[in-house]
Amino acid sequence: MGGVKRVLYIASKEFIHIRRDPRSLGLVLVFPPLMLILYGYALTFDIKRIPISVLDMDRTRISRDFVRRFVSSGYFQLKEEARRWEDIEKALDSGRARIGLVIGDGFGREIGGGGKGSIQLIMDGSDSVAATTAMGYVASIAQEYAVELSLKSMETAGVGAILKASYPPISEETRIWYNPELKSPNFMIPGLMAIIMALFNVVLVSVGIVGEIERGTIEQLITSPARSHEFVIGKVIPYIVLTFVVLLEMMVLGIAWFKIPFRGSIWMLLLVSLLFLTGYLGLGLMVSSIASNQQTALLIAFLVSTLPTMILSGLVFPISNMPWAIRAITYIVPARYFISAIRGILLKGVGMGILWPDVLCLLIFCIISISASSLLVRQRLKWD
Amino acid sequence: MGLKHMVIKEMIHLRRDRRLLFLLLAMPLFQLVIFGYAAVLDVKEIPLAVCDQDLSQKSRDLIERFLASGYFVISSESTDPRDMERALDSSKAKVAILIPNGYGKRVWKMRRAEVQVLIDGSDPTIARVARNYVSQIIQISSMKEVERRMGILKAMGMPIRMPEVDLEARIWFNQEMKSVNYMIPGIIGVILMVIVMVPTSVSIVRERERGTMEFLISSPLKPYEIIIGKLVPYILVGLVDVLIVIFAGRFLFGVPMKGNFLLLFLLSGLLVLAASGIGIFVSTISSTIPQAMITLASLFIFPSILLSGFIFPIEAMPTPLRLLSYLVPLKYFLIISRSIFLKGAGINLLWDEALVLSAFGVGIFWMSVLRFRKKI
Repeated sequence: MGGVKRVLYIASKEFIHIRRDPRSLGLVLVFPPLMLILYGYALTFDIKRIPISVLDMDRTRISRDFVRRFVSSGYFQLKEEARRWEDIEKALDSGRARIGLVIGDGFGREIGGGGKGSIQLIMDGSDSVAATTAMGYVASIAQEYAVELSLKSMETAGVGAILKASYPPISEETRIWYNPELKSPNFMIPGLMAIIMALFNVVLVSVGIVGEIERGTIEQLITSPARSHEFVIGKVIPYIVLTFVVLLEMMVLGIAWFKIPFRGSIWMLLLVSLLFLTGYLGLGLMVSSIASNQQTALLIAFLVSTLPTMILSGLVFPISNMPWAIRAITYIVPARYFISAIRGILLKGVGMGILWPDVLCLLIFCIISISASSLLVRQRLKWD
Repeated sequence: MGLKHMVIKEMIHLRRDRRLLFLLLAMPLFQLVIFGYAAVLDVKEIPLAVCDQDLSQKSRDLIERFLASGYFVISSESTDPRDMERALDSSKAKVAILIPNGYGKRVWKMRRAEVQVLIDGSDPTIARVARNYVSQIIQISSMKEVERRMGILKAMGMPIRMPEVDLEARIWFNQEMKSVNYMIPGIIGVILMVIVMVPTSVSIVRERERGTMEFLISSPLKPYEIIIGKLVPYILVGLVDVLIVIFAGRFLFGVPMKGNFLLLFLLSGLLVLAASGIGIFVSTISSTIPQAMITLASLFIFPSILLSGFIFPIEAMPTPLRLLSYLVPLKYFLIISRSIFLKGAGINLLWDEALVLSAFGVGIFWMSVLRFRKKI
């Protein structure tokens, strides 16, 4: 029983410590929700408003109409109207435009007469993924335009009702399995929460504890009868409470502001969040036990939290594309399981029956990080 | 004279902190390697399960279009929808297409026909790209079909004009169309930013927390000398990091270097300056290390990653965020590094970005000095 008492004692001491820096406390409580609102809108992969530069050598009603199609599609924005070929070159070189569209002389005459008009497209392939998509958009806009003109010509001739009735002739009904909510922007919000929490968590706890080591106040603890794991748990509890409050703030905000549906059970949500936060706090402790000072601790904390959560969690980059060595690393990025579990709980409303692998992985991560950190702390402080 | 001693003192400090120095020099390369291999967005050869119940010329045409696009490879073929579903369940296929019986007949008879597409959404990025490809292929097949029908009507003697738009596309820059060539110059910027901002953001707060600040203040050093002295070691380390990551990007990842290496080095130096300026600014406005870190993360690191165009295209963001992105120094550096690597751009095209970046660096440095003086 003495152990529990000591843990609580260390925890309450840490609480007092946190309360002494009210400005930091305020920032921790206020910034994450603000960041969620702000950046929630930034995480989009949509290809929209691609800047284009148009060289219209034709200057007819038809060519202008054609260009208008591009702008009104929403995928492109007309950045500038080039006067000569060099303008297009310059626009692409300087990055003012990413696509150059050249409409040759005689385009309107040909198209208007039912012939073949040609256009030239120069694409900046730097962002190859966006370029591929953009190319697809251009091709379909061009083709649709031609087809529409034909349909119109038929209409004026009073024929072709059959074509209009059956337009478009082939269509698809797409269903997305396993993740039907993919379409909604809400899909990224749980990921953003994970990134924000990962960073705040690891950094807060590692800085807090290294600071104590640096100031030497930790020696007082060592001479106390507390054991290293008691110390670790006691240290972590206040931060779990604090970050738990922050995460809940973000959840509430996500549901109230971004209108994320909440279909699952609140208990699952709390369980998953608790495991995730505890695991990351353990990671923060590990960082602090290997860091020589707060500067090093901060640096490592940033390196193991933000970017890996962003790049290795499958949030942005497909994990199945990565080389096997990197794929192996993604298994130890806990955000991966957290994001998938949170999406499951919020968007799909699934329970333990389906989410148990994620929960299990989070639990394992939690146990490993907490026990490893108490080992490391013991070593660092030459405890026992 | 004082400045020189201050710099030397800080250099000795950094040299003694072996672990930090090692991190500062080794981490960028380590990160570049991991993230460089991870940040691959190309989605090619998506395994496709085909369930063709129609088995007509038309259905084969459609499947042929999927293959000809180069984005899909057939991994399972059957007439039983259960096979198709099994292929998705077992991850043998990521996309499945079902062409129902009667598809070909409907198309021939000039009626509307529908196909069913199932996409495995467990990897959202692949699913998103695959869905794009599928709808483009269907769209183009559909338009071709309209054209065929018009051709028939025309042959029947109806007065139809059938214009065509002929598209000739050329790709400039990154002709191999590899996403890694686009990502690496970006990752370089993010890594440099973080590796310089983080340690400098702690530098002054740390002295304040430890109480050693009084020594510095009571010395005859001027505020700007203290700040420069604090910054120089990190700037030097940052410049070494610049060399490491540029070389690694070029030779390890084979990103083409079309432009001038020296220019990239110099302009990366501007980023290092701006980043160290931000770090020191954060350090002067914070009174404890946790405050410094929260401010740095929320106001500088997150925007650098999310609003710089590093991963998420700025054009697609809502207007307020697009305006905010102009305040993110990394945005300008990403334009610089991508343009030099991939386009071979010279300084004549990069003036604007270079000027903004230097103005930012000077401005934030100036603000730090003012702020620092006031605080003393």
